[in-house]
Amino acid sequence: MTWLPAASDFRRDLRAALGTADSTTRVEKLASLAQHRLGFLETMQLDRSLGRITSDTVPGFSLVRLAILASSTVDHLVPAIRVAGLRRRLLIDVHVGAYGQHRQDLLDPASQLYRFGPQTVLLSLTARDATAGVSLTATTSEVDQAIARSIDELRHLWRKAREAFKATVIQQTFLDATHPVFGSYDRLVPGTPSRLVARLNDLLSQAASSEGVLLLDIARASERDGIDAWFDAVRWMQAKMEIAPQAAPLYGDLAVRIIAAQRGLSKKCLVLDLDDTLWGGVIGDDGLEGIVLGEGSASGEAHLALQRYVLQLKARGVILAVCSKNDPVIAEAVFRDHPEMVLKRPDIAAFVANWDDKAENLKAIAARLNIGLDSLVFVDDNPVERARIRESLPMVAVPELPEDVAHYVRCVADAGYFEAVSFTPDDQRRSDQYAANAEREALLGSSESMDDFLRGLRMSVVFGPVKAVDFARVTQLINKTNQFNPTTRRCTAEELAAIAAAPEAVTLQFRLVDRFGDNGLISVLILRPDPGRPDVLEIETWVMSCRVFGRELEFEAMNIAVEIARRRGARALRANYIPTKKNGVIRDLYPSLGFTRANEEAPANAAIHWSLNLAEYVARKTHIDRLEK
Amino acid sequence: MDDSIVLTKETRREDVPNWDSLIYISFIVAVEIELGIKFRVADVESFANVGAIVAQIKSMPR
Repeated sequence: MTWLPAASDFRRDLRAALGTADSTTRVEKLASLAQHRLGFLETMQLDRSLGRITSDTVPGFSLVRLAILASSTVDHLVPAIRVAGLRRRLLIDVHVGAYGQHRQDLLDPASQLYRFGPQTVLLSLTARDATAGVSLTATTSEVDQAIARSIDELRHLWRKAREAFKATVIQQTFLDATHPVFGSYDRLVPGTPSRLVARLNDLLSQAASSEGVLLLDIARASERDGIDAWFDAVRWMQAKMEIAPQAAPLYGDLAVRIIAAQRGLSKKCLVLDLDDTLWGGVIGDDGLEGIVLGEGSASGEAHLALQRYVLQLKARGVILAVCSKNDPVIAEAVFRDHPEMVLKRPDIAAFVANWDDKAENLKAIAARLNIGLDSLVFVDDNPVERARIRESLPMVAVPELPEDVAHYVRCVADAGYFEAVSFTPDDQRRSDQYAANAEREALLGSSESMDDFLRGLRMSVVFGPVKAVDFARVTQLINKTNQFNPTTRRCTAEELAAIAAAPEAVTLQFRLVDRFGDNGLISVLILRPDPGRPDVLEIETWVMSCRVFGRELEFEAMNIAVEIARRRGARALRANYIPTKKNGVIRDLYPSLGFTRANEEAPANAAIHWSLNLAEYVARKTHIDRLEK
Repeated sequence: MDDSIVLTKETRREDVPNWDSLIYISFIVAVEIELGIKFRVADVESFANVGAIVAQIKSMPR
């Protein structure tokens, strides 16, 4: 976990945290300690200091109930999972199923697992069980049949976990701790142990993809680090630990990345320094001919490799930004005029080059992109700048880059900042959409008035019910959106499918198109009747991407929702606003739409209930045309 | 991290409060990491007390 900075004095900091009487401050101190590179033992100590999580919430932290069902000993992985949670401001309550009892636990409603009620179920199984009984002489089709049986059993367990708990299911890939029987010839014999594990992982990926199950890919991680880093024969024989204790911190981080990604906590934007990061040398001193970039120089290739990797991240939906101490004209000219530049100026959604403090510049970048500072990753070769950002903006992720630029890509990739749980067409277009936002900003700058600007955008909303094809994007949007999200209610694709299929529910998805392009599927609204009063529809979920704030879409969406509600014979809408650290931007959403407050003065941070009498609703005129699908 | 526990050569598993198999393995791993050694599979199951661990370590090539 080399991307995390070393703790200066772990024991001193841990004692200081333990000596803090106030529990919130203590958890905050432990969380900041968790941001450091910790080994197995330090992870254990930190976890013990965190103590048992009770239902009392700590402000700024979310609770997660995770069950691990395993066919090997996993108790030693629990501290690492909890510490990795702490690193992402998640307090994880872990239930470990009885050793090897995953089937019974899932199938028996009287089991402790059912009492625990997990939100996420992690299945950690060994390849030994799944390939038991397959002989070395088995043919390809015999191997496939045997493995298909194991996979079918897994599918059954996955479905069970979802039915019983509506839980997200994470399946660990199978670790290959086998030894060659023939040697290199093993790969040519379908029944060799290593081929069985490989085939098992192949068919597992296919099954997981078709079932919408997420994978914790320790097989890949162990290939990267070497099996000796992950499997220790003595620990296996001594305690049936398939994952070596030394691998626990990384295991915990890999697992919690998925849980965090599912909750919209992955990073969104990569902020890059320029001199000695994107290229070698200092453009202001060395000039266009003097900087090191491109083929023909080893260092030049290393910087090029970083640019190529960054471009791949952009292609999967990561927003790119630049934050550099430079003259802006000179810095931008490199993107335009240097023949070896892989990254071009339009790839960068926010370009900040000046001589100001980088912490202030990062704040400006986050504000310009309308995303949180905790969505940023800041990549800078200069240890002083890195330390400055960690100190003043602890919510920004700052990888501890290695000395050698040759390993920058590996460092950023290993850190797993941008862990995903889906890949949708909207992701593929995202960076272009942010680039188009720059053009929209230019239009705003040249417009006489807001009215003039909105008219000039020539906007249309394309809307309709949520269909199966939209499930992945809609789930992603609901789970990632923190700002325009009055309830911060999350949902799995399973739950969404159930809502979309329910005849009494109204689901609406909105895309906003303007003269600069399609902003994609950027808002979702779900209405459900109050069980006691069918003429009252409750806004169960309403989310909107921050990309389209300030375009009057919330007004047009409400006009549409009200028309549909009236057609259904509803008389009123109900809505809740539950304040969080992040959704203050829509504090006044419901009153601005004509809702009146339904509960008296509630305590700070408590839910505020709103209601709207449909007979009194007056549709608000907007600059958005409608295209119903 | 409990500094109140003092180990002597005679300390046995049952002498340490809340001792369990996970703590035992963590202890073994701690010693291995700290001293850069690796106990054999036969060693890890037979330690009767802290003195036996110390004796084993002394007999190992460093």
